[in-house]
Amino acid sequence: MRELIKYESRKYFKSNKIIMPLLFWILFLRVCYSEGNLSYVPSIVMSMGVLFFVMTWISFSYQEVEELISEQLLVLKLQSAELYNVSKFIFLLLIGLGFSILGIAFPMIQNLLNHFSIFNREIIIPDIINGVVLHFIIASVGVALGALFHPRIIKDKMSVLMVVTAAILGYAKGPIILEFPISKFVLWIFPPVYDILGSFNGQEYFDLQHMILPILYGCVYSIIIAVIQLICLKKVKF
Amino acid sequence: MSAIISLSNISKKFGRNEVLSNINLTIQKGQSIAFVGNNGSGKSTLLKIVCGLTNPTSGEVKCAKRLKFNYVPEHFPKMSITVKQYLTHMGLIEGMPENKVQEGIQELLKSFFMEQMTDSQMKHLSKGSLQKVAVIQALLSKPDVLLLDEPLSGQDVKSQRKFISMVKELNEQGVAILMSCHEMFLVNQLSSEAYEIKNMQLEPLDVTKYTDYDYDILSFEKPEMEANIPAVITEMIHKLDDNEGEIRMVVPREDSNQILMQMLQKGFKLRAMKGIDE
Repeated sequence: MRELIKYESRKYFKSNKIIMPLLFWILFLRVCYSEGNLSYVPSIVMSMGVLFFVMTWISFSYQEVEELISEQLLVLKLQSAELYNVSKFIFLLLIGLGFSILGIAFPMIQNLLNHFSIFNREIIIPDIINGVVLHFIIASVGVALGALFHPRIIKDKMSVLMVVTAAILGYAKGPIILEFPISKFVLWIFPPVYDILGSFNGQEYFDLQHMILPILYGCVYSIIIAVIQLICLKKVKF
Repeated sequence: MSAIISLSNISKKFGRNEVLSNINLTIQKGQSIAFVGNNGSGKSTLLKIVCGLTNPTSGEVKCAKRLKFNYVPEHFPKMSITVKQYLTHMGLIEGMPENKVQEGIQELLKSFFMEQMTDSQMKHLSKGSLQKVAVIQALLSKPDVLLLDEPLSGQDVKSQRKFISMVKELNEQGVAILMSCHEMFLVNQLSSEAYEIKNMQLEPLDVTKYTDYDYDILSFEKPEMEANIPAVITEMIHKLDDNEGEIRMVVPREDSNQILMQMLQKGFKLRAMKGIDE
């Protein structure tokens, strides 16, 4: 598994597909934390929302890096299609972790360089840890969503449009449900991004009580989608 | 010999297009089977069904145990990593010890005249060199079953000879060889049993009628005016490589003179002629 992830990372980074999402993420962080006197929790929540889209983008584009023949050879070498598919998921989660750490490290460094004037209160260690954890949870939701639209599962050329629509509906389902309450019977199926981000409305600190539900939402959704993806890939094969 | 794979009533459809229908076949340990047939007849699909990469539409594939399949695909993808990096990763992913992987790679790269290309990016390799990488990754470890899908396409004659001898050696060690190919020359060299896929069915071919051949390799320069190889000659050719400006063919020695004369009459210029073993 370790060797497979090393191979995946070498191929992925050589493909240059990470450059655009990484630049976008850095640019967002630069703009977001260019002003001072920000509230910590709302800033982190906004950054989580953007990371969800970035990770969906990365996950979706990553599925196209490996050519079909190359995938077939790897499956035969591993003697397990499941192991191969799980390794790809783990690799994406590792990228998600990297982006999450960057999403917290960047404002912390900015804060330090600006004599602790970026945020309107002192940042404590739990703020940092909780920020990374929540970023990682939302990143895993994005990874799951992008991975579900694997070219072997959804062969439609409109899959880019489909993944973008699913991501937007996941992000904006709260206001849609408020406007059209009946839509909640359909919109629950989309990623729980609004539910996760909305849990921190009006919060000054990330306390454990308010974090449990969003973490559960993110983990359960990601695991369900990952299992569905693995089942679909096992069924369609090559 | 013991049966390791059995195919029962295998059918495969792509949409409404059926390519295989009610295929039954038992594959024994150490057997070497060739599947020949026209393009799109389902040869590659059958190989992929055998190793579980593709699901049959109906029917069943039974394996005696968990088998290790090594596979030489027909079209190997161009990648942005070097030959050595790719082969090293493949060996380690298979679970081979690092030193064995490095030894194996060095030996195989030397055997296939690729030592100079060790650090070349795979995306810059020619079709023939890429095909050699496909062969090397499959020969790094010993499998239970070796799947060969048009394995010789684009390779030079010396590498082809090396490949054939290595595959024969594996076969003698009990590795089952399943091969899809167009070339009767390769069937003659490697297979003890052959089937033609015709009308979605497997039709046994009499391989004994190909086994007594000695072969010559003829290389021709194409005439400036476009000329086709006469149909009567095409039927005699057991392997044909058509490169830009040059045609190389493997033909039964008894037909060499006739082929040579007809090709010269058609305006092709002879560039080289030698026995396959020279």
